[in-house]
Amino acid sequence: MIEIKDLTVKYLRQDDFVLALERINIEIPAGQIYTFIGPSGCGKSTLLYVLSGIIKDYTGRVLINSQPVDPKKQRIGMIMQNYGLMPWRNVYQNVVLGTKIKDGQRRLDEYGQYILEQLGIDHLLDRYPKELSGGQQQRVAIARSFILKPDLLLMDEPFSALDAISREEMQELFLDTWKQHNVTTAFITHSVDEALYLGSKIVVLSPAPGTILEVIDNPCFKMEDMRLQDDYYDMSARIRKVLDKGR
Amino acid sequence: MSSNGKWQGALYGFGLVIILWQAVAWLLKIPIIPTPGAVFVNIADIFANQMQVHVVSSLGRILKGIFIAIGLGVPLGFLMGYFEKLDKIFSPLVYFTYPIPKIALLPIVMLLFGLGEASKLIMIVLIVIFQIIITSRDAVKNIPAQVFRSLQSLGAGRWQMFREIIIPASLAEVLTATRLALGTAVSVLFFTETFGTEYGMGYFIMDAWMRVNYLDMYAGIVVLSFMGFCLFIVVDIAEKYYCSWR
Repeated sequence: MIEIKDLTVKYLRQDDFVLALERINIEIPAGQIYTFIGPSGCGKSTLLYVLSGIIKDYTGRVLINSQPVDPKKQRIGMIMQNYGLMPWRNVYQNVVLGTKIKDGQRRLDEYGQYILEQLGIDHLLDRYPKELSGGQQQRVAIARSFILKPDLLLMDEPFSALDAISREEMQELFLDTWKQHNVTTAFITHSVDEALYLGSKIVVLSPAPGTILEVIDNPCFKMEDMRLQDDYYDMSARIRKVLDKGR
Repeated sequence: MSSNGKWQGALYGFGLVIILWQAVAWLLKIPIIPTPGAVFVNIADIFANQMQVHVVSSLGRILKGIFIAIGLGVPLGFLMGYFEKLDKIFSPLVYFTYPIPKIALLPIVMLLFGLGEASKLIMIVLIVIFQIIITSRDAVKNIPAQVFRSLQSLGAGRWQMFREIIIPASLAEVLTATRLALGTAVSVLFFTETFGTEYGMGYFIMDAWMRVNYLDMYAGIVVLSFMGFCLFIVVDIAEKYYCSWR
């Protein structure tokens, strides 16, 4: 479970403090996936950097399973827009990087093999990232995070660099993988459609400084053929309204 | 470039130099420009009993000099690239001393460290280390922050950052700097070997010149060039092996 209480983040820009996030309060129960949506520059990424322990300078309380954030102790999987792969490591080495750093485990176990097969990259192990398509690179990043068996999975607009077709494919593949392992996940997006498809709840953020406008229950989550249902249109309209109001 | 293409290129360059040399030798017909054929025959004659010892000592000096320069320069460059504070301390020093023609310091180095081996190594190190420091530092600075973030979120320590990111990411640039340094090192070596030693290709070439033995002199120049070329190839192979991800 993730607990964020009164989180405020300021950072220094040219001798001026800029408020990135203001009094964020939210709890993500274990095994849930929340999508965070908001306009660009609203501090969404800042939120993830706080959760991953990269930004340490904040006020308020952030707990992962009742412990303060510490990437050395907790297992945090992070998937970024540009995949965060090491270009000098091949797919295999990239995929085991997480467990290598966390547990000193350089070899894939059965579970790892299974994840690779599920993501359809088990035949690409010798390739280097530059020899892969964007979608394939993203699968590698996803595989790395799942193989880590993380306490918390953080995703920062992971599919936004993909073309529309591979994006929907990847969303589906990700959701299928996620459903089997139910990792607590914070998923950042700027797409209403993606927020609806992947979030059990949707957290709508205001423009900078980011505050939570509304946390919306998402009836569309895990719905068959979501994009063809009336609920989907109603929810889209509702989220857009909240986003507009925040402007 | 593919390795085949590279070899073809090298062969082509070699052929062209030989043809030009041969043409000039034929046209001028003077003893200070012997034909390449005569020089290569002379190399075959004198290499084993006269030149070998000079090649070995020159090669030794270059390798030692380069290794010391890499051993000191790369870690310092990495640290400067990674820790902003260290960079602030050392960069002004590096920038200030970089443009000084270090070869002009040779008299001082010889006064301080004598005419022997130490001065020769110090000169090589002094001249090539700056390139290596600056390249290593910039290589680290150019690594995108995102790459570090994904490792930070995994809780990687400093040493893991160096091993997983900084070393592999900058290896290619360090090798390129090494290749440039080699070219410089060979020139410096030649210069320093004209003083205070009786071993080394620099000595051999200058000695042949004094003895008005032009065939030996040319043989020395060709062998010294070939030595430089071989060192280049070694770096090339290392780059190909370690940086195949590029």
